[in-house]
Amino acid sequence: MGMTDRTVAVALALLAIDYPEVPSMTAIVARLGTPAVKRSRTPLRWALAAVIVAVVALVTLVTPVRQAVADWLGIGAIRIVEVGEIPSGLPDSIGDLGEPIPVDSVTACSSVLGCPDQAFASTDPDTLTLLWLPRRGLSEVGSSGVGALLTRYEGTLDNPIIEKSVGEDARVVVVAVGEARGYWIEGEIHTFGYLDREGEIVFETLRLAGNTLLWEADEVAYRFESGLDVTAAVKVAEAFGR
Amino acid sequence: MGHHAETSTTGGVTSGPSSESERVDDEQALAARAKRGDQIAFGALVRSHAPMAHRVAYLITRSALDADDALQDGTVKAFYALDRFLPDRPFRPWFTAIVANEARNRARSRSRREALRLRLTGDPQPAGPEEEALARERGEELLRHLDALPYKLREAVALRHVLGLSERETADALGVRPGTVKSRVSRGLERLRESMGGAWE
Repeated sequence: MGMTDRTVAVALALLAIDYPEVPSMTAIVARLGTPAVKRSRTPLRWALAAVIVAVVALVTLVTPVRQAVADWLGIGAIRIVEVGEIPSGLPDSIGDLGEPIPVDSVTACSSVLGCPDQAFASTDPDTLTLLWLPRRGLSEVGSSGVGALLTRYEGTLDNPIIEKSVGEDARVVVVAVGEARGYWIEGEIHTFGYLDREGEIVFETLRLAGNTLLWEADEVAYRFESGLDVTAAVKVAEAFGR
Repeated sequence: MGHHAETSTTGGVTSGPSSESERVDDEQALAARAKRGDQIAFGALVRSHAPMAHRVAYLITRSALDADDALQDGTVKAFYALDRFLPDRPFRPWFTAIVANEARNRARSRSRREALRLRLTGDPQPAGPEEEALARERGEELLRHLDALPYKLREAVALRHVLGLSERETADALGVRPGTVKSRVSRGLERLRESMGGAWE
């Protein structure tokens, strides 16, 4: 019986070709810049506040902070309620986050993080920060005494500015946060830059020595610092959009 | 030689799903995220398909260096062409076609360089010593005849039968119609039979 196409095909399939080693895709992907994707201008539903709920009252705030928080309410804000005393106990290691705000944490909860323990507002620059203490599923970041920080800025993010401002010891990876573009930053990072409403670059100090997720929605920038991995951090960010 | 066992940090999607449908779902989710500029999702996708794309490039170029370059440049081009990728379509053929195109460009540009040859691995065959020796001898002979085919026939035969791509995937990778693949493979197998004569009878 002569050789058939089938015989040859089977013999070809059995060839043990000495394929070369595949180059590291991690290194290749790490050198990529920003893709040519169209950025969505669809209004995003989740500004931190829309996220975090309805306002009940503004209390015990000095005037500038009260005004700043009131401004934020235009796009939603944290649920602020009158309480007997302002929460305290902020660990010294993370520096000044602004003035403590009484926060009704029940309405600002995340399935990943649970409810925030403290909230702070500042006017220089305008920021609003939620703080979660360590708990089950949310480890303390270093010895900071803090599990996670979520901070809202009046400003926008710019990839080259972030890349340059975080330094050579940090690695910036573009990630999707809902419909928004986010930046996941790993490694040694102490500062990052963003553009304020006037287009000026503002350098912010990071408070925790953990991983950082930055994202932007409707000209408002957010920063989430924690010991969580990128999957969980993105989940937190996206959860606040609902 | 082997492959890097790169860890897949997929941002929520792990490699090795338990079923084909889960794999497809994962891929579509990753592809959607990649289209939105998510490098982690894109990295997970290309890591998953890089070994196959690299083999395709190697069979086309017969050069490890050119295959590396084709994979690297193809990956970069794929990233910047994501807005043209349809996330409900499978990622592998789209990605492989881009890498294969890079490989063909390189193969054409070095046509006058020294002839390159595929090689067989030194891994022992799962058989007794005599069968192993015979299989190796036949394999090397077959490889010599494959290497000697005109490149269009060789590419089609190698991708279709050595690598085991489907006719459609082979066509996508080579940028031709499935009918052309069928014709080239048929002619390639016929040439192999003729050139090898009755050696295996």
